[in-house]
Amino acid sequence: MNRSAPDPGPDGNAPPLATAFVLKIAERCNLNCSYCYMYNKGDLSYLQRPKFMSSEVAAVMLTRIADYAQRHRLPKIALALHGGEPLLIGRQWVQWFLEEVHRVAASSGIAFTVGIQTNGILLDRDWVRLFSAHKVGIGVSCDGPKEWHDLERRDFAGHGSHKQVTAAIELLAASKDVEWAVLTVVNPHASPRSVLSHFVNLGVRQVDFLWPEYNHDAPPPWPSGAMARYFCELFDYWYSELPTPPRIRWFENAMKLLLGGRSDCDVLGPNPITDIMVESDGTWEPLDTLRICGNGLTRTGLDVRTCDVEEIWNAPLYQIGLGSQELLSDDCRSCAYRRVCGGGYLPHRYRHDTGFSNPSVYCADLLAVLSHIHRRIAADLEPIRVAVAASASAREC
Amino acid sequence: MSQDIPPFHYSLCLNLNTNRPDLQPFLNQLNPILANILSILENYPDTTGEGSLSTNFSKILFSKIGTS
Repeated sequence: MNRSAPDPGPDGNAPPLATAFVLKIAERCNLNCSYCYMYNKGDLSYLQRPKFMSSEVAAVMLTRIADYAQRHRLPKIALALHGGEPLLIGRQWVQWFLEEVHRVAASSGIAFTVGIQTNGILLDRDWVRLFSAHKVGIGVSCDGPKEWHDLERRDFAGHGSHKQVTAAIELLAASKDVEWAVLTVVNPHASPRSVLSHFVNLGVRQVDFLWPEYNHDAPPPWPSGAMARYFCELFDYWYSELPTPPRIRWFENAMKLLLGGRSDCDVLGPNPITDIMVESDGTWEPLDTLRICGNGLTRTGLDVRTCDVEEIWNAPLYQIGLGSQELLSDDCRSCAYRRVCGGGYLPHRYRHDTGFSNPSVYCADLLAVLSHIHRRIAADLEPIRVAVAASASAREC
Repeated sequence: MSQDIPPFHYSLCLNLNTNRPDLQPFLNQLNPILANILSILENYPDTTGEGSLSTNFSKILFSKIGTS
């Protein structure tokens, strides 16, 4: 029998609503990346879950999500196929799933968008054809040139994966009818120019640069300031020097926030973290990167077969994500950039004794990067400001 | 400048409540990345309860950023 949802009533009583679900359809990987928050940052909960999501769990999950969207009048839901390496589950399963998504969309009236995040090893023409046919957006993980990519992104025998991922990116770049982007995890020892140039030369048009997952209990292995130097140099190269710069999500969101707008990602800005994960065993869980904060920390025991989506509202860690701004430290509350960095990405704020009420472990670097971008934007807008001020003063005279 | 600059410049003019051709040269020379970000912001609905970005735009740009 289903447990009732905590508060499925009027949306005025509901917390900020999730419109994106990350589906862990494969909880194993064919790579063993050193920085992986799923498998190499202390969380072992994956060992208790099946390697792959069953079609039974997936079907129930889709129905639960559609019902939830209908209850809250959410017209659109984003689904991200994730892992582990999601392509390991096989094309037949994914094709079935995408057809099931269409069936549920047709019967519920909910518009689903589907994306997938892959390491690219198994991506071939047949996969691309399938994703193209179902309008699935593709994200490929790549850390730039071979010497940097293969430093971290190796298989279990220690072999680098650069050759395979490059082939995958070249395949996508040659495909006209598929939307795709690259995710890269920053190594501040690398040259940001060489990394971005590498992507531009491969035809990448959208990329995001991710800050590696560290927190106060397990701080970054490089000195404070290293990430700031990397991001400032990357920004200047991207903003001023490239003739046809690709979109870089982190910078675009930083600029939007600095200009008074909103972020559309959870790593910057004061937005509540609403995204919901679905594990291969069919449990609803909060943000997956929070696994770096403790073994089993994200476990909820809330099973899609018995629980509505809304039951995750009562999970303590999910509540922390929703109320992350209420937990800001005093330092953050008095900082001029509070609404831009949002106190930092939630996992990066963690410390075992003070929880999430800390500035980001990257605070000094974030401040340096954001103020650098701020200065560059302000300088570019200065002529307009002067012109407006001059005309206002002329009108007063 | 180039024809590629998106039409946001006109909406920016409107939001500055100027409708003045004297600003156009400045707007046309804006960094294209910044121009695109501004065009995205122009389309934001007001969800802050503090007035729309349109009405707050010049205040945000020229008070907060321009003088800090």
